[in-house]
Amino acid sequence: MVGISSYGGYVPRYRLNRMMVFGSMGWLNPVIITNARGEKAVANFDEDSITMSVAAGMDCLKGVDRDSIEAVYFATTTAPFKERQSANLVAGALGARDEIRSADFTGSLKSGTSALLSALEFAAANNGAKAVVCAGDCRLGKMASTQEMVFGDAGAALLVGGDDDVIAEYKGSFSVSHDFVDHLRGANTKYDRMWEERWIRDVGYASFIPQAIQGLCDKYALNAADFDKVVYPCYYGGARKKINGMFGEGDKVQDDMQATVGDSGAAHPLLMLSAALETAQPGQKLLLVSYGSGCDAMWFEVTDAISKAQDGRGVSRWLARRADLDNYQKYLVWRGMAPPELGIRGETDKETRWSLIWRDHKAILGLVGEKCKACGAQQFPPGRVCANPECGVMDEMEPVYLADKGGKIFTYTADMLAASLSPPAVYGTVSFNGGGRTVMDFADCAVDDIAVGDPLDFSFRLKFYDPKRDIPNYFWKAIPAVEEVK
Amino acid sequence: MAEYVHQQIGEEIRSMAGYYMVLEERVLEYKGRTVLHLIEAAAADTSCCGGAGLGFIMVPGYINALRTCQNEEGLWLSDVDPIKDEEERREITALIKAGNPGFQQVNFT
Amino acid sequence: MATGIRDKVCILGMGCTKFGERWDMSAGDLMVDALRDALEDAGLEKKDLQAAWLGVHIDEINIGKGGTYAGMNLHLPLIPVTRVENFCASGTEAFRGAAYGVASGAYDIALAIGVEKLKDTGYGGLPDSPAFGQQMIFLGPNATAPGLFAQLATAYAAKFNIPMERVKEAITHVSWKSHQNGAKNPRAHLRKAVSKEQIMGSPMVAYPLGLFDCCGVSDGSAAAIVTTPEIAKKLKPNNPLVKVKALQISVSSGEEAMYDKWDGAGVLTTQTAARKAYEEAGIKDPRKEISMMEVHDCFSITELVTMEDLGISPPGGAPDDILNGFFDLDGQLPCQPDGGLKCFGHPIGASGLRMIFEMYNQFLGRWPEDRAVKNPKFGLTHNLGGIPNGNVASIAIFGVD
Repeated sequence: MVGISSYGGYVPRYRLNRMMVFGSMGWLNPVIITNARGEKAVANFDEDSITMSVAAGMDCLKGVDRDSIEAVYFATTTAPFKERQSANLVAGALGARDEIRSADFTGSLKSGTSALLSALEFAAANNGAKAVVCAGDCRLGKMASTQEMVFGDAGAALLVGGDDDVIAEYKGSFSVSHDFVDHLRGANTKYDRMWEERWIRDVGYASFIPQAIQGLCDKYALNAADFDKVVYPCYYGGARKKINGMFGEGDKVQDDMQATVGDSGAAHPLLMLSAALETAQPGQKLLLVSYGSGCDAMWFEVTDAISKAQDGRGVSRWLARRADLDNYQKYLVWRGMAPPELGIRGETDKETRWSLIWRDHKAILGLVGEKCKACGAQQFPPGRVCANPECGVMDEMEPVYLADKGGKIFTYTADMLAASLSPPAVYGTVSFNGGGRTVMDFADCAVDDIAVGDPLDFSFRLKFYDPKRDIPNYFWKAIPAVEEVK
Repeated sequence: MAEYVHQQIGEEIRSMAGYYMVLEERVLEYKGRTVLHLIEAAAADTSCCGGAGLGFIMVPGYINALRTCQNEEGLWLSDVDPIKDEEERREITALIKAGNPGFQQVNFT
Repeated sequence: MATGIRDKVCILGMGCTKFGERWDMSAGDLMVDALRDALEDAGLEKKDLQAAWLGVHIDEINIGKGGTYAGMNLHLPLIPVTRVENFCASGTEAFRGAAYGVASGAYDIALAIGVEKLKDTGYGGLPDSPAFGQQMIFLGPNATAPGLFAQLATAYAAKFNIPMERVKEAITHVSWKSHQNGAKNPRAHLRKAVSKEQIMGSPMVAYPLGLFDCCGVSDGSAAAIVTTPEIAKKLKPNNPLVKVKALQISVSSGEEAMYDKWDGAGVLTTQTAARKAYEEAGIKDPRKEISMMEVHDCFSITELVTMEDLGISPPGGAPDDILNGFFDLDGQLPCQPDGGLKCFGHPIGASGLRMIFEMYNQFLGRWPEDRAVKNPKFGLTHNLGGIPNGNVASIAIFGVD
């Protein structure tokens, strides 16, 4: 038996009220009012598809031995690189070994389920070997576009494996693939372009999703009404109503989070699935369908092991951790849609030195510090000499993955002078749980939200961007510990 | 009860790292009392470690008596009650921030 | 057993430019002013200098590398010139080089000169540079010095359970005092007294530090010519000898930044350098024996914790001493009689020598009555370069016989 053995979600903290978008841009294109209900999740200025995938992956891998992971797959349509495998950054951040399989899945909104299918087939072909699927998307619509109203930013992750760990057994799949160009971005295009919405709704969603579901049912001798929980993305209310008619009576269809998150692209089916698994019951039949350049339909049966994984992980706690994005212009600057003046100081060239990064890649990607074999002191950044002045031995250090250990605030400040896209820059000295300290940037908090001694989690973020060479650089920041929703 | 010394409107008050100035004095009604608050601008244009500026709002307190006398430098003095209660500070901060977008700080004395 | 250089070196002459935004002057021009004044004061000519040390921190902008900039701009007579850089202690490092050169017997007369020219960057503040190496661009915070020093205040208040309002009151007094003293000093960058209300009214720059808790950047240069007491007596038989009593440097071990023991409420290197300096100078009770100080008040909170790190105030007692006027110009132990970094200014490479310049002139009784320290016995200067958890501290102690 192979299947899903854990799940995780991530929704960025800041939410943009759609009425605020209409208030700012409705003068230009008043029709966006038709999509102005609810709010959408907006990645912080230091977040992107990779960082949100890592956040979801960390959520998914709570309590999982990182050495047991054999594959890391990443799905997105907004990868920051054309050449440089994002999955390796995700794997490094999650603390996976080097001897693993890694792959990026991209090019369509169904790439999240394509990655999931590949992971399931990898597990099946390798005696239930564990594979992590992380998806994140951060798609942009132009100002005053439908896409700007509808799209949201989020990440989702699933751990796939075999045997007793499986919480939802994989039963089978059916796929359809079409060169149906409803949404499109060229290789050098920043903003999404879409064809007429009525065509997308009727010929796209409302035709292909039923086609895939019917194909799956025919293949496995099922009836669409047999499913207890149904997950599929579609933000057209009319099309949803029609598709929902296939599943018979009962409250089976998972909320599409359009009012709270928005359509998170390649991550969206997996995000909705994670939310569904938070409340799934043993024995339930679960249907997952993706949409984009065709559809993947898959079905699962929930096992008794589900209860162990319903421990607060998933989407709810991230949905609950929210703050208003207080103005539309901030959204434009954070997403790189309007150029801000950062001062002459901001023009300082920060070259990315790849040989240095390679030497320190464990520390940068995985917040890997070390523990002294002689005295037990923990330290970060890693170095060859123990920082304990009573010890000070050389070359007696062993690596420690610190990213999932958390810490506490030792000291902190909010700095108006540090150049930031979200001033004041909040940072401070963090005491790692287990020992050692370092000074770190804080994210997703204001100075009034924190105090000395408060617990912290670590969050993988964009550290700085080199505009001259188009290189985002990543590292960890501290965020106030995220409360679990029971 | 405390004494508030009215700084001259638009006059730079300078130290080594930069300067600030009062742009405008305003009042706000809150629970039957009048809150004096100052709309101010600051620039850290000569700081050792970075350059920045900000709009901020200073709240000397509830007004007891406005401009009672002048000090030796000719600056007006007022009697105010500094606002110490955390809940009152929070509510007044929210009221002031709502009316003054872009201002990063509301500080109380 | 080495015992240091107490009484082996004395100052023969000093010079210090006016600090400020010297748009009209290059680094070389500023150095000429400082050198000319120092030579005049010492009664010497350039050809008498046998070796020179140049202290400068931000090198790339104006000075470049090495000692050539000083040698070629001042047209020194083909003598050894060594450029030293140790953050804000660079000026004191230059002085240490010259003093050790003389104390070792290698030279009879040596020059220490410090300079910084910061106003050609196009923006306020120090230029961005990988001050802690390339690795920290990737692993360190997006921080500024005010933010890193501000954390001394959060840790200090937490450690001694002193309300932040009390700490703010004390550091407001620190800034007020520097403005009072600086206003009287014609060389100071900013000569303007401000009221405590005005200091308290400044906005937050990095919680809990306000705009008026921070120092600025200045252009400026200062120089010292040192020799042995024997030579000084011959050259200036009628002058009192201002002697070096102690000269100590301490550099962070990484313990503060990475290990769990440091309390964050003081600076380990200052504590270490002070202990060694008192030993070198033979000082048993610094609170009673030291007569005046120039300390590194890059931020008002730094001056507060330094009073405890130097062993002048008891742990947790600095706010009381400060607010009781202990460190005022007319107090028991005047601190920053020249206005400090806060008002005299802070051209990094020159700052250590500027502090020594103040001690030297106070000892010689050269300042007018309104800013003179009465009958000084020991004078102490202190620099802190870097950030609270990774830095260099220098302490120099001077005295007259």
